[in-house]
Amino acid sequence: MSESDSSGRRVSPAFRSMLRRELDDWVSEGFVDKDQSAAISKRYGLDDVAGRSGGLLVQALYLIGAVLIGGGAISFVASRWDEIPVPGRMALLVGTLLACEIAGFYLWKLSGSRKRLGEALIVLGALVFGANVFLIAQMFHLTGEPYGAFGIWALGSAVIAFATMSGPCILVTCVASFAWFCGYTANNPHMLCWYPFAIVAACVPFLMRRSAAAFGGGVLAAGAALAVCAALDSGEQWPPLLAVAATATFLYGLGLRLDRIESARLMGTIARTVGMTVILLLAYVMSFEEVAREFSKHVWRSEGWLWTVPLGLTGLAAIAVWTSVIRTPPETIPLRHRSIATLAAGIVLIAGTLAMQPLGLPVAAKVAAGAIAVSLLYTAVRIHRRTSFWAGLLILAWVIVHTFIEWDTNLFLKSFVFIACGVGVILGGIRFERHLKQGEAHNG
Amino acid sequence: MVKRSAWFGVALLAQIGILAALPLNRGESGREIRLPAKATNLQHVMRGAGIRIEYEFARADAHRKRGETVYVTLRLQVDSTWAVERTEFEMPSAVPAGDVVIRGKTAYRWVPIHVPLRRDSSGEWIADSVVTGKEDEPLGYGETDRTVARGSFREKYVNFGIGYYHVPERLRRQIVEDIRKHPDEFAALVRVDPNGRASLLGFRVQDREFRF
Repeated sequence: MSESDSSGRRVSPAFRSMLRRELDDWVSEGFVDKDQSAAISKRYGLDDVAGRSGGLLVQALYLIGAVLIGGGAISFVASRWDEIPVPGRMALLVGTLLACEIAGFYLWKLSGSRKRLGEALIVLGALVFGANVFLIAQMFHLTGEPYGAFGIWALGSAVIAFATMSGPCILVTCVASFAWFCGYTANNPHMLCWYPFAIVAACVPFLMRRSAAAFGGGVLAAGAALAVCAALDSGEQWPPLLAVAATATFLYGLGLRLDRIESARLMGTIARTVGMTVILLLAYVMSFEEVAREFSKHVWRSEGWLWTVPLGLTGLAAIAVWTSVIRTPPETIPLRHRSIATLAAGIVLIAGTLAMQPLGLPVAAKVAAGAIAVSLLYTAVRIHRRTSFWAGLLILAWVIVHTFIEWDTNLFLKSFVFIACGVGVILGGIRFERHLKQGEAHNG
Repeated sequence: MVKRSAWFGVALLAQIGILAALPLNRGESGREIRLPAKATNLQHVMRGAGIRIEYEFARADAHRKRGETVYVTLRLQVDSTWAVERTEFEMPSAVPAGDVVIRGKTAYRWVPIHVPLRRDSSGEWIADSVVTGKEDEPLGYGETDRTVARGSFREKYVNFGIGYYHVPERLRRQIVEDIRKHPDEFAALVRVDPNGRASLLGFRVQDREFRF
């Protein structure tokens, strides 16, 4: 995750944190005076570094602690569950729910003394509500599909999420409603292609408040639902591939757009990370010829075509977003190159899927992974980033090695390629490290 | 602040209302019947899962679409078991007295299949039987002259919503042993309301009833 300083350049939180520590030493050792220190501090926004990172850590600890305490309490009660009469059980379930949510609301919204702990308790309340639904269903042996319980859970957590405008609560809603959607669509495959739009619409009020949790939940639930919709409505294997490739390409483009909005940078990073990861994973899976052959069966066949509606709209959104990105490209040159590589990778994967050729898909997958690897290497050389260099080199080496293991070429050629790869990795690594040292020497 | 607290209060009431309404979904009216069935998933019951109950009349035609509503009319036989009289896709208008109509939906499920293999004296592998369904794992896996080929197939079936029953932790071992000793004398206790909606009340092994 990187952020911008006042001049608009992107600097990492780690850099700002280190600079803040160093700056105190520089002042005490007399390298810079207090005015200069204040100017540097203002330029890099160092004053809120400690509070922000510490606050996130405390919130994470509260959330993890709340979930662990909840799990322990549930196990303790479950061990004596049969011995408690039904009215007692109901009182225990409702009492726990009320205790969590009322205490959370008081601490977060009324007194404001422990806002993070308060929100963690509200989230715990949403989780307890889900546990209550399952326990009541089990206690009264309610009939029906198990996914129905996830639907009720989603409803209950949505109610409390909207009442408190808690982003993590709407994340719980996204996860629970996605589980319900999967179960319902498995039984009614041609009915629920509107779900991705419904879940995104539910997240909109939280997105207006720049909730990264709501954005992550909405992106994952709606994106995965598009693929599930395509798979179940079509009854074939190629439509979900198309859905995943198109959605991931759209997400990366959306991330680049959100990067331009100061308050939505975290959402942009989430969208770009998810988009890039999914494209790389898809390229990895599709690069195997056996898998590609399986996915290329039943060319253009589909049981239903309803899935094309949400996917078509996602495709249009992707075109709009990428047109905007191409018109006003990202500010930094490495990000600009990486965005071109990711767009190329997405288009190649979509074209490879639509080509429906057992050979076309693995070739497209390798070209896609190769394009991203080259862009990472370029970033590494351009801005001296070691992690990008090794990630790019690893992907490139994997593409080459995998191709030559899978393809039926003679051993002499294979040995030549492997040796060339090995030498290339060593020489490339040495040269890059030398490049880094020269850069450091140049900077003094 | 008052408005925010009011909305929070409404949300809490809605949550409690949802939880309180859940037990109302349980059908209290209707006829109670005993359906012969097969208990599976027993090896997982010891780890906290419930018993899965499979019914002979839940088999669906392969050409049926997923999600279709099915109405099965059952008739009591002289040996006190229930047999399928007919299967329809609309609620029958006239049901003879004594018959019971039960409603379900066609769905898919993955069924495991095991083929125990043994090697004869000439070194050839021979399959003696084919085991389908969620049975306990057949023995002999990984030995030099015995192994098991495993796979799964997708099957259409009618889901009546009475296929899963949770058993209390303290009784798991006793119940599993009882069912394993008398697998053919297992029956589900089911209540069916006038609309065909079924609810699972418990089960019976020989003459012992288990309702929790």
